[in-house]
Amino acid sequence: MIALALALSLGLQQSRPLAQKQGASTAQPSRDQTAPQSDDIDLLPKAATPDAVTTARNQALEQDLRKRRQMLQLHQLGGMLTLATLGATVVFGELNYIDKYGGGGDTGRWSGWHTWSAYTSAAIFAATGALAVLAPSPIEKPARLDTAMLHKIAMSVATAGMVTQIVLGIATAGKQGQVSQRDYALAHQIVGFTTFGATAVGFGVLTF
Amino acid sequence: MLALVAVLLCAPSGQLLDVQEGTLSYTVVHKLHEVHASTKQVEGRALAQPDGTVKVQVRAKVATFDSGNSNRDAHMREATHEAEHPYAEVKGTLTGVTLPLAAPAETTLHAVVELNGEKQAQDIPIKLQPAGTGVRATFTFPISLDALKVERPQLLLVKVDDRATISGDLRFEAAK
Repeated sequence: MIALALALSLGLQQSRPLAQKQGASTAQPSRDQTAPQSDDIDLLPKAATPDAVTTARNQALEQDLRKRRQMLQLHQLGGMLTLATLGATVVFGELNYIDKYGGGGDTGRWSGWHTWSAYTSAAIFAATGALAVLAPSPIEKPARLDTAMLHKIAMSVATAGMVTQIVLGIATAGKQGQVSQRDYALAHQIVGFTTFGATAVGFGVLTF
Repeated sequence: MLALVAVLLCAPSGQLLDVQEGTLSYTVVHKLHEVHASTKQVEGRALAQPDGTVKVQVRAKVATFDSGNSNRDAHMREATHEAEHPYAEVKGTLTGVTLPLAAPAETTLHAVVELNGEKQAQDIPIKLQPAGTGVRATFTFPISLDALKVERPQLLLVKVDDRATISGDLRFEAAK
């Protein structure tokens, strides 16, 4: 009996530093009763239980992230609609340009289509951008060149292009009957292609 | 006396190893592309017992995974409720492993995978290799996002596949 006790106490001396090194309790009760009992040992220190303040902060963070997710999903939908309507605007604009300056007879038959698709795409573009800009961003993200940053750069170019296009479009229409209208129209056409290209890049870059 | 014996028998014994370096990564598949994310901030510990049983616990903070897109990483944190469940974790038991390893070995970790506060039992094939004075463990295993109640992220209104793959390459060394 004494020998047994001695042997066990020696075993305890050997194992005690190990238990201290673990820095955590063993055999913590598992929340999941299906988990094998043998896996319940915690070798790593348990994460500290959050206090009331931390819990409240975490809940607020969860809510903000959920709202962000919903807004960015709508932003994706808006992005697809933007690309479609902007593409239509470019096509109608090109047809209008050919009609007016490419020997089409200046019938004006595409003018209305181009105008209304342009206003529609501008409105969708603005709403889509607002969804991204106004979405809560509760997690601090270090600025770095990643696909999200490339998306933002491309869409900033597209935004500048959209603003330019609205101004140029109205200015071009106001030059009706003047020789300079063709130059304005050409600039409007070039900025239009650039804006559509930047939007397409901003859309496509997120698929990488 | 019996109580004393029981306490003494329950005290852990064996060799303790810590993860010195390593990478954990996940891959999710979308119709348009595959997304890989990884972290090098891995915590892990193994307790090798004289009978060849090795208890293992490895975890990483969900917030440390980097997929190359900060928006996507934020989205994954939201999908896994990272604020409430900050860690992705694997705990399990290997059997028939004697340290130090004499040669590379393949074995199975009978594990419980925890993500999003959900636990799933999983058998994970593991390759063990001697690495200096320690052991290198590599593994790959699939998980079901639906089973772990992770709301699958969407791109262009299309959800990522239910099946995600977890991979790891870890080097364990004797704990200091």
